Amino acid sequence: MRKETTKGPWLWLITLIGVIVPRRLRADWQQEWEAELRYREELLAKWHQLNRRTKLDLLSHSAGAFIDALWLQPRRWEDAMIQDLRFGVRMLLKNKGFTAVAILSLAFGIGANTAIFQLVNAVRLRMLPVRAPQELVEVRMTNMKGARGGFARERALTFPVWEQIRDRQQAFSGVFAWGTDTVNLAPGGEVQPARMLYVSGDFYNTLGVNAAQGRVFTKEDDQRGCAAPGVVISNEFWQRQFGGATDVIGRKFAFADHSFEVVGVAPANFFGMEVGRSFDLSLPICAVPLVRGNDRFLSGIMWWLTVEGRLKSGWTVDQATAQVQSISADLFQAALPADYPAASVKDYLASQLTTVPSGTGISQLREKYEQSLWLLLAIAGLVLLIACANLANLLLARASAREREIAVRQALGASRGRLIRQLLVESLLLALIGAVIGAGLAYALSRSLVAFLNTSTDPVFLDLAPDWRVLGFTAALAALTCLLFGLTPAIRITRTKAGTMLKAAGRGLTASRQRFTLRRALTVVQVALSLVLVAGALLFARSLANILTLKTGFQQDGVLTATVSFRQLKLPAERIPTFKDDLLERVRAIPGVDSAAITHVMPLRDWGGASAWIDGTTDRRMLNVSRIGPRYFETLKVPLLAGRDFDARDRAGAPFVAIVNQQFAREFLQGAANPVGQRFWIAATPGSPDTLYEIVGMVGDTKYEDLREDFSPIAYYASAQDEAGAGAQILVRSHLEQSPTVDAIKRVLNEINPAITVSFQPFKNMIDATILRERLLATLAGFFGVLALLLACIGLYGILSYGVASRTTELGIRMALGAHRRDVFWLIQSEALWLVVIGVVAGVPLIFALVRLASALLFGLGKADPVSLIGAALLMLVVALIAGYLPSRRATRVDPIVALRYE
Amino acid sequence: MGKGYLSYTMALILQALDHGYRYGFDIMTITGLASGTVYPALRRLEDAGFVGSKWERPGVAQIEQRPPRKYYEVTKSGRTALAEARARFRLLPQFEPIATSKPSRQKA
Repeated sequence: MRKETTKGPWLWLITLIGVIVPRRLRADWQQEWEAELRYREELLAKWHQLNRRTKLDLLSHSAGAFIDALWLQPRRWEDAMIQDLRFGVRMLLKNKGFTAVAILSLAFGIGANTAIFQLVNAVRLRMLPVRAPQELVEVRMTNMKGARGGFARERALTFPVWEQIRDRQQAFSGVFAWGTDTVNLAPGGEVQPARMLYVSGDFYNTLGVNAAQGRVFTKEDDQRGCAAPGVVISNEFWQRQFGGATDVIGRKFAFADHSFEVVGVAPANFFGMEVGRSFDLSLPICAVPLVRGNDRFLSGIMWWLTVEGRLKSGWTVDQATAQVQSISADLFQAALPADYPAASVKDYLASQLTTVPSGTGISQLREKYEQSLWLLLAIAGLVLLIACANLANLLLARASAREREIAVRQALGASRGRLIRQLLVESLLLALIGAVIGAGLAYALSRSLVAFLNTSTDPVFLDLAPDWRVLGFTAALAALTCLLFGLTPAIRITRTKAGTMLKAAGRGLTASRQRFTLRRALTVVQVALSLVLVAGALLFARSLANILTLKTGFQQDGVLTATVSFRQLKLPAERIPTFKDDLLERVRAIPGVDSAAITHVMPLRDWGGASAWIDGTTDRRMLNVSRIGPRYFETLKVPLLAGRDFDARDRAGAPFVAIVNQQFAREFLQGAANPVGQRFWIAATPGSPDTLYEIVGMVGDTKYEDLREDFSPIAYYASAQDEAGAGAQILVRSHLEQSPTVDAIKRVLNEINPAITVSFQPFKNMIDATILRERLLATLAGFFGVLALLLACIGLYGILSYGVASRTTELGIRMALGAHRRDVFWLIQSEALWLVVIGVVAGVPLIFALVRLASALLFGLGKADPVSLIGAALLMLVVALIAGYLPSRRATRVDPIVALRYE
Repeated sequence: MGKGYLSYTMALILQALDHGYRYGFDIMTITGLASGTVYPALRRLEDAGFVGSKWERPGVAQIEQRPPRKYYEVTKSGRTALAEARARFRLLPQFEPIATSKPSRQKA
C-alpha cells in the first residue's frame, strides 16, 4: 500500500504541540510521534473495519502527544536559557558583596519609587470602586462669586440648589448628592467622633453599590422630615464598633439624642466618594435636622453638598455642561433663599453650573499633595537612576575581572549575542530580586507615608491595594533598570577581541583608556544627580525651617484647645451666656491654668471673611473676621497695643464693638497709630443686615488662616454680642503638663454635668498639621538626599579603588623614582575631587530646573537659594574626601619592590 | 520513587516490551493504557536504565515511505527489575499478551 508522504492534519498537530517541547529534544520528539501517527494512519486507512471502541482508543492515544510534551517540560532545565539562569545565580552567589550591594540599592530605589507611585495611584489615578466610574460627573458652579453663607467644603452646593438640579436635569440617568459631617457617639465626656456621610436616596443605587448585608437606601428613605431613618454603616465601622457581629442588621445605637437602626452594611471596598477619607455612618440627607438639631443644612445658605450624576449613554461631559448651563438661570431663581442679602442676589442669580468628570473621586488630599507626590516620584526616580549608574559602574569593574572568561568563551565559539544574553540574564536576576524586595519595602513605606499624613482630627484613608497599574509600574521599573545598568557593560565587555585578551595570558592588562573614560563619565553623572538630590533636600529643609521660624504673632506653646458641647442639656437660649461664663470661670480656676478664652474662629484652621468699609467712605475691602471672648489675647499672648480688651460691657443689645489688628489700621486707616473710636461697616450676610462696628482696641498682627500668608487685616467681634450656640471652643493656657490639665478640665465639666462632651487638641499640634506637606517633603527629600550621598560615596570609592588596583605598577615606579607618599596620596585623592568638581558643575543647571519645578512648594527661598547650593556642593566635596581616603591610603602603601617584581 | 521500584503500570509496560512490543502505540494497544500514561512511563523507565531506545534503521523506513520509528527494548537491569516485579505482582504474568496480535517487529 503506497501512501502520499504529505503531512496529514495529525502531523500538523504534532508540529504545533512540538513548540512547547524543549528545543534540544524537539527534533527527536517530533520524529517519534510522526512515526507513531503514521503507523496509526495506516490503521485509519482501515478505519471502516475498526469497531467503535478501537476508534475511540485511537483518538485518545493521539492526545498522548500533548501529555508527553508536558512530561518533557522539566528537561528544560538543561535549555540554554535555564543554563544562563543557573550560571547567573552561581555568579551572583560567588560575588556576595557585589550582589548584596546591587540588590539592596535596587530594592531601595524600586521600593521608594513604587511606594510613592502607590500613593500617586491611590490619590490621583485610581477610579472609585463603583460601577462604571468613568460615567460619573460632578455638577458644580463655575465660580462661587454669588455664594454667601457657611461653607463646609470648597465648591459645594446648597440643599435647595441640589433639589432643583435633581428635578430639572436631563443629562443624567441618575443623579445624587452627598455631604460629610462629624458626629459624636459618646453620650458624655470625651467625644468619640464618627465620620458621617449624608446621601440622597438615589446615592447607592446610582453608584451601583450594593449592601454587603441588609440593604442600602432608596428614594423612599430620603423624604423630607424623615423621623426615624435607618443607618448604613461602613464595613470598617461594623468591624470596629460591632466586632463584625453577624446579627448587626436591626441593632440600634444612639447618637445626637436619637436612636438609629442599622439597616445595612456597605461593601468592604467602598470608602465613600472622597479619596483620602472614609466614612463610618451614612444617613439620608433628610436626617440632617434630626442629627444637628436645626434646619441650617437644608437652608439655602449652607454650602455643603456635592452633586454628581451618571451620564446618560451617548452623552458627553460637554453636552451635560451645555444642558446644566441652559437650566442655570431658572434653577438659581427657583433656589434663591428668601433671606439672601440683597447686595448678593444679583451675583447669586448669575451663577452658572458646569460639569466635570469625577470618576476618580473628589479629594482635598489630592489638591494638597498631588504636586508634591509627582515631585517626590521624580526625586525617587533620580535615586533609582543613581543606583543604576552605580551598578553599571560596578558591573564594568567586574567585567574587567571577567575579561578572560569572556575571551575564552568567545574563542570557543560563543556568539556575541549569546554572551550579551548571558550577561543580561545576570542583570535581570538582580533587577527581579531587587524588584521583589522593593515591592515588599514599598508595602511598608506607602503605609507609613499614609500614617505620616494622618492627623488626630483628620484621619487619612487611602486604598493602597496593589492594582494592575502598580504591578505594571514595578515590572516596568525592573525591566528598565535591568537594561539601564546591564546593557552597556554587556556590550562593552563583549567587544574585546578574544585574541588580544588571550595573548595577554597571565599578565593583568591595564584597562583600556576608553573603558575607564566611560566609568568616569558614569561617576560624574552620579555626582551630578546626587548633587541635585542633596540640594533638593537642603532646599526643602530650609523651606520647612523658614515656616517653623515664622513670626505667628502669638505663642502657641502651652495652649490647649478644648471643644465643648452642651447641646444635650437643652438649655433655654437665655441661660446659655451665663452657663458659658460659669463654665469658663471654673476652667480658669483650675490650678495651673493661667488663662482661658472662648473663640469661634480657631486661628490657622477656621476662616470667616466679610466685605467691610470705614464709616463715611465707600472703599470696600475684604476683611478677615473672628469672634472671641474676653482674655483671648492674654491667652495667646498677643500684645494689646491700644484701647481695651472685651469685657462684661460687650453684651447682646449693646452697640457692636470690635478689636482690630495693626494690619487693619494700615490698610483701612492709612496706618493710624490709634484707631480706637473709629467705626466701620460690615456688609450684610444672610440673616444679618449691614452692621456698624466701633473699634475699641488694637492688637498685634497674627497669622490668620495659613502660616505661609502675610499678615492680613483682622477684626475681632465680641462673641457675647451674638446669638450663643450650645457649644464653645476654649483656648486654655496652662503652665502644667498637658495631661493633668486635660484630666482637670474633664473633671470640672463632669461636675457641671456628665452629659457635656469635650475633645482636646494641643494648639501646637493643630498648627503643625497645617505644615504637614512641608514636613513630608523635607523628610522624604532628606531621606533621598542621604541615600544619594551614600550611593555617590560607594560609586566614587569603587572607581578609585579600581584605579589604584590597576595602576599598581605605575605607582610602584613612581615611588621607586622617589615620589613621596604625600604625592601619591594626592594623586588619587585629587582624582576624586576632580570627578566631584565636574559633577557639581554639570549638576548646577539641573538644580535650577528642579527649583523652577518646585517653586510653588518652597517657602521663603529665592530663585536658587545660594545657601542650599553651596551647602550641597560642599557636602559633595566631603563625600569625595571620604570616598577617596581609603583608596588613596592604599596607594601610599604600594611596595615598589613587590609592585615591580612582576615586570 | 527509588530507582529499583517499579509501579504496577510500569511493570506492565516493561512486560509488554519484554514480549517484543517495542513501539509506544503497540504498548498502548496491548496494555490498554492511555498514551498519557505510556509515554511518561517509557521516559521514566529510560531514565532509570530499564529501557533503552533505538531509532529504526532509515533503510527500513525508506522502503515503507514513512519516518523512521523509535523503538524501545528492555535492558539487562530492566529484565532483573521485571523478574522482581513479577514476584511482587502475582497477577502480572496473567496479562501475557495473546499471540494473535502479532507485534510489528516481525515485519522488519
